[in-house]
Amino acid sequence: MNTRQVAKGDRAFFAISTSAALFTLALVVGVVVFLGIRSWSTFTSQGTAFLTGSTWDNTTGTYQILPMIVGTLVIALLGLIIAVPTSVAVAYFIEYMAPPKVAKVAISLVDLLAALPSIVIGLWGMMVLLPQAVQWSQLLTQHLGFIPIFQNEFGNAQGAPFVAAWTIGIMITPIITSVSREVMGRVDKDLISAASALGGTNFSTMRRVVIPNAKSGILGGILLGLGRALGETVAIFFVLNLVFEVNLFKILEPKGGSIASLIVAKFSEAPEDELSALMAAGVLLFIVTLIVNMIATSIVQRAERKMAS
Amino acid sequence: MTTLELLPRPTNAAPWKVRSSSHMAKIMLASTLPALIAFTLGSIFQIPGPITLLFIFLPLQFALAGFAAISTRGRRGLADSSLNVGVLFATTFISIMLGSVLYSVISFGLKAMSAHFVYQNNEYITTTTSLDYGGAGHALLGTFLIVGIATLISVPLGIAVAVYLTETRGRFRGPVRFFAQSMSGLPSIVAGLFIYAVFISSGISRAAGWLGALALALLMLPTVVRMSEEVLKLVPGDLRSAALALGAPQRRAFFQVIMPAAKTGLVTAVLLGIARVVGETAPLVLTTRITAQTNANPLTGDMASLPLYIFTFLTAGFDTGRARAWAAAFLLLAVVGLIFGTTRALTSQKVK
Repeated sequence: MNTRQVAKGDRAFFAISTSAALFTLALVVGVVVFLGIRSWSTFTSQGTAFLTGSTWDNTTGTYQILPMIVGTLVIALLGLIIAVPTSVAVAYFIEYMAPPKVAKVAISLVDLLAALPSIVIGLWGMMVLLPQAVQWSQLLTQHLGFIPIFQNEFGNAQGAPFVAAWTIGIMITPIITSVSREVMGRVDKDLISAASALGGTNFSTMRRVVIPNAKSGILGGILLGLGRALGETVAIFFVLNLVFEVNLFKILEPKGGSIASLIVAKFSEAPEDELSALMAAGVLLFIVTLIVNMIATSIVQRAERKMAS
Repeated sequence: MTTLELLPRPTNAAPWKVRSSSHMAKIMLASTLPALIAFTLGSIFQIPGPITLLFIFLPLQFALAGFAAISTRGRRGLADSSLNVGVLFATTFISIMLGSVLYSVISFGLKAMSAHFVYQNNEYITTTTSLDYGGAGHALLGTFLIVGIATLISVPLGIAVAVYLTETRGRFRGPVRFFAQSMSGLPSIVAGLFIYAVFISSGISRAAGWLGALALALLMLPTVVRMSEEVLKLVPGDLRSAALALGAPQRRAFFQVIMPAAKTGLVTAVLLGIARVVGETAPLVLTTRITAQTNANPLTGDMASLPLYIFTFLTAGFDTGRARAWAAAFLLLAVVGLIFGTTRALTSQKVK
């Protein structure tokens, strides 16, 4: 084989890998651009009311998604409130408290649960959690009803954001745990021993050594979980009532919203203009999750670089 | 030295000593008493479970653990005891929740499970047909076909991208790595919507298996890229240099030296990618249509798949339908578990 043949073969090899890489780049841009073009008519016909109004009516051609945006954010934030403390606690348990055998099993289990199909969570949420959660929310209204967020004029929490957020929280906990556990495990063991040798307690070691060192990794994990929570569809589709009315904080009333669920609920019988509005909603969802994930990625990458050096 | 010897030895400074019995008694009491009190109070006054747990048990447990810690270790023990109680409570909470998920899938799933459920299809099944007939065989086949095609598309593409990231000095490595990772958070519904917009609503094709496969490939790609990049990075640089020094062209160095060295890792990457998408439902709802019949042709016609099967029967809302959904969820979980078991076995083999 002479040098020219070698160069030719290698050039083809590199050309293939380069084009694959560029194709991937183009794909991300392509998704945004294509959905953007398809939904352009909605953005022009609805104007800013698309983002600020709360009417959805395909007989008059009015498509406004503010309640869905608010609902998506409320559910994701509530989910994080449940998932973040739990995940950090479980990660701490696995890395620093559990006996090695338990920890080994727990690590595999957490990784498996992080890949649990969301339809399975949705099935569980509807059949097992929902009846329970409805009871709990009645208790909340009964005993803590003087706090505005627990008020419920409907007397029934079937389809309330509370239940959806609960489901989402359970779903993203293994995802956040899996990332946080990994960064917590990578904290320099010498630092921890040094802290104990200096008379630190477990708590002060965690607060002054473990958390500061693992902070950015945990934050990245939380943002990954947030990305999943924002874009989740089928896990909450069955337990959420979609109502076109902004429901900012009454989490126990059966009025919720979710962009992803809206798309699944409406697309099959949508006329052309409604379809375009759904695609506009999809573009919005994509851009928001893309931004969240980009921040997460850059935080995690920086943390990895710092750990490596 | 003399000054040190003059210092009185603290009476409680003996970490090596076996803990005294009163010390043990305090710890035992602090860890059992709160549960006991909460349970008794709860059952006497008929207080609902969640309230007992949150407003009687938890504060009591914090307080008693704090007292025990202070009396055995001094004030410094207080924070530690709170940390232990908090962490254990949160861990127990999520274990119960996720344990309940696994338990319900297994117990409800096994109730409706039978041999014929795995291979029969759903033809002639109505809301009143008993569970002795019909199954999710057609959905299982559909899942295999759809995920198989998605794998065939995304694996060569993903590994080629990983090659670009590790073997070349291309200018776009930073952006490609960044976008590939960001894409791993692409909401599955958007992937489905994209394929729907490109192929179905524009009239190029009706809903069919291969469209579902395209949507899944889109979701699988980032996982495959990231995992295989990590694996290829682990191959020692010496191997690469040695192959090149022997005069091998880069493509042969890759195919004959680097790839075999990273084989198990690459297989793991592919399996994790499959595990990521095998249960994706939203894209399949948009791009494929459920059928009760067996369809082995992913290019045309309606095609069932396990996630869609669960989705459909859950929406239908009748009792045997729900039972079938549970059984299908059990099958799906078994598939995911099998994939994970294989990756575990592969990675532990590599360590040996």
